[in-house]
Amino acid sequence: MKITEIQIKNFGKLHNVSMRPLPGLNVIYGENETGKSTMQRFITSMLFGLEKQRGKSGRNDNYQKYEPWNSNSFFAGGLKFTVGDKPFYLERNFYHKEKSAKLTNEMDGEELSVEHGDLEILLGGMKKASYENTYCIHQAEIETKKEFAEILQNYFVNMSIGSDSGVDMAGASKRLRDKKKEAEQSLEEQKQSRMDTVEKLRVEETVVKRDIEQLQEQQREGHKNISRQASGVVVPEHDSNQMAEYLRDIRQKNMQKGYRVRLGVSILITLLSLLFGIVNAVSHALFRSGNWGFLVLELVLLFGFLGGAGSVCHWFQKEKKLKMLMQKQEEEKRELSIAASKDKEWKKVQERQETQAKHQAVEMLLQEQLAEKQALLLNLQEVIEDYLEPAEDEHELELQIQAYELAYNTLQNLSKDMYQDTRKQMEAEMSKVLEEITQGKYDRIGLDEQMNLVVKKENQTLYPWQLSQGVMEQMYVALRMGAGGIFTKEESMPIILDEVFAAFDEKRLESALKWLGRQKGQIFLFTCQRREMEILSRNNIPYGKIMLSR
Amino acid sequence: MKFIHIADIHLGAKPDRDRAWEKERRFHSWQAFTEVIEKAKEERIPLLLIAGDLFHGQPLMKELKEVNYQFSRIPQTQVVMIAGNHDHLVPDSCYRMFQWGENVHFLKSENMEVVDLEGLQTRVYGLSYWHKEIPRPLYKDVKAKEGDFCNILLAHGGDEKHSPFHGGDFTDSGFDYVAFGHIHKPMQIVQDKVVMAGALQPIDCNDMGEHGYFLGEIKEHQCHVKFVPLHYCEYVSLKLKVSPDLTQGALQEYIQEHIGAAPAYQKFRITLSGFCDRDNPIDTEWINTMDRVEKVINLCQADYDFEKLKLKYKEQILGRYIQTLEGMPQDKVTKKALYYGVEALLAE
Repeated sequence: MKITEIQIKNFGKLHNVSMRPLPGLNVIYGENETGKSTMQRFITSMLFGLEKQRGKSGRNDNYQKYEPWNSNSFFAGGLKFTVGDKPFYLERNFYHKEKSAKLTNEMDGEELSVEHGDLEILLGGMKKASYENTYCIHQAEIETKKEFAEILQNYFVNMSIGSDSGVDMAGASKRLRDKKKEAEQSLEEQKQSRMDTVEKLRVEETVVKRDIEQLQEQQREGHKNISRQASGVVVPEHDSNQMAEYLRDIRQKNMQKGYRVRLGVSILITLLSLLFGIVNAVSHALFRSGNWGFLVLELVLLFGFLGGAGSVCHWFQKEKKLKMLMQKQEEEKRELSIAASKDKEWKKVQERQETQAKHQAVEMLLQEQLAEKQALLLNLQEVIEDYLEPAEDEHELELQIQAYELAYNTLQNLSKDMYQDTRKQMEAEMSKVLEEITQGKYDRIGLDEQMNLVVKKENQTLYPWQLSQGVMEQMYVALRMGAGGIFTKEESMPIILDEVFAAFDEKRLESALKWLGRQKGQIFLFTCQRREMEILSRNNIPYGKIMLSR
Repeated sequence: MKFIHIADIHLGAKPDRDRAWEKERRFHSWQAFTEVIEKAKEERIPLLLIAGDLFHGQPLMKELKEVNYQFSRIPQTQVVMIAGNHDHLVPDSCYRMFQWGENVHFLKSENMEVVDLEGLQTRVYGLSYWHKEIPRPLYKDVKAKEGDFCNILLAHGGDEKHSPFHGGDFTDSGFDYVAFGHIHKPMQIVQDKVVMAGALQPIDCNDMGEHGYFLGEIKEHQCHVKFVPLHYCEYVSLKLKVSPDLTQGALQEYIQEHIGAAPAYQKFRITLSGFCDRDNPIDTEWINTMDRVEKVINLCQADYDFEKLKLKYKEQILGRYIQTLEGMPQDKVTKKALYYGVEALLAE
């Protein structure tokens, strides 16, 4: 593509500027603030359009930046160019409310459709970003932009130029990775929430298990507990006053003893009285003494005897009565104790039965509770098992993750294959440029595995940051121009060089300009210095001169 | 003699976790069960057959008491039941110690038992599951004993892990009726003879269609049954074919109208198929939150024309990508990957 006429109607600070560049090298000279960058932007905006960014107001919005100073609704321009010797006329109205683009084939007057991609075809399928990253070379950017590696990669794999392929390899890879990450995240979330539920259920399970253990423990200890409880109950004794009985027994025994002593004394008195009475009577009969004394004695003894006999009878009776009483009491006591023991026996039986019943009831209750808890446990375990199984959604997510992985890997492999095909060609092209600009000092430039720019000097591999600023800029130009050459096989796009040679020394500038002069494509060299023009004139290199002034 | 045949009541099941109607669904099994009891009471049905899985899991004592209470309301009805795989008899099952009412006959043996229902001149055969799975055919060679009885077999199973069987197994078995449970879809495997009651109400969203019980009558060894649906909940499949020009709004309006016109007890599983706009895929999340939508299955494919794409991007990565993936063994993953890759490559 060669630009034949630039018509700036109203764009930024430029109004009604018109110029006709040469098909080869053009130097656009202007001091600062004369509109060099406005002009560059005009060219790219004509080729690729200028969109007002919605809602955004910022430095990055080129629409606002280049909105005409005098009128915001008259914002337009035109561009005449040739592609393969066919002349075209492109007119654009940038004003966002009346945005339009008109493309005419000037040979036959046929109107083409920008909307349907006719312009894109004429541009060889090149997108704005790629253009700005290859043909449009600015001084400020020393190293390639970060995305440049990715854009290079895109272009490596999209070699067939001339189609309207807008395939964005790096973006596609990133999208696939992002989507995969997203799926992984939501899978992880689902898993986590499932595991949280399992955790909760496990706590419940532990509680139920402990309950079961306790119940089992109770079941084992059940017997002991109940019997211990029975032994603790005081069995009520039969009503009796043991102390009173004891005292009574002692008293009765003493009484019995007293009775017996008294009985003995009475017997003794009786017998003595009887004996002395007889002795007295016999001695009286033998001696026949008529002594009244013996009669009196006899009488006394008789009384003694009678009295003794009487008291013998009395005490004997008393003792007998007492004995009978004691016997009766003894008997009563025995009877009582028999009754008491019978009572006890019966109570024991009853108690045993009660205990057994109680025991059975408790056992039943325990058994029931145990069964209930065990059912609960089994059901709980069933639910836990259910939750341990990944849900349907998780399976789906897993499939998605695998699919994203497969898509990503397939793309990577394909692009690697295609990259390998074109890499050598690319490196050769770029090395040629570099060699010429540096007069053979650096002979090889290329990309390493990470798509970083490296340069080879004899057997040394160097990264741009290891080089001087000047060399870096030379390499940078070489890379971009080489890449541009590769990307547009059929029609090279106009190259815009914006103050790129500022850091070049005289010698290298000369080589660079010589090399530029040999190029087939159209070149716009923007500069604020006169030395480029001087060198070109000195070397008789033809160029178009466009002077911008304030 | 009239009878009611139910199975897979799954008392205690908690279907539709995480759905808005989760709570109400918990009561459906009990409500349906109670309705059957009421039916038996009203119509004075002399026999109620429960072919297993009365409970969703191990029955709790209080649940058994509740069920026994319901049975006690129909003293004129003889209830014969067995345990299925879900409520199988574990060693400490509450089933084992529970004292049923007089009219309830729980055949809890692991081996074939028979209960003689004297007033009804009927013998019911059956056994209970003692294990979660019984892969051997339990009923293949079971024969009714001689005698002038109405013979009924109460059985549970029907898939490979749960006593598989064929309808033909019972041709010469001497049974007048074989009352099956386990498979949740109600069906007459042999017309009026071998019948799968189906779940009384759907247990989960996979139990599509109508559910209920069988009401039957046996007269002189001739049986006749009819299906009686219950309507507490029914899952209905709604299959929709979409096209790329269908908008989300139009789709949702259609779904809403369709659901609005359907009986209130119906819940919908929506399956979307066809082609959708690749740039504006249907938002299934949104549909999923609609009233009475149980689930949305999106089988839509983006409307890519792979043949055209292959032609257009012949030597480029996109063309090569489609070719590579089409050359792989076609499974779910490669099919998805094809769409994902194309989508990613064509995205702006």
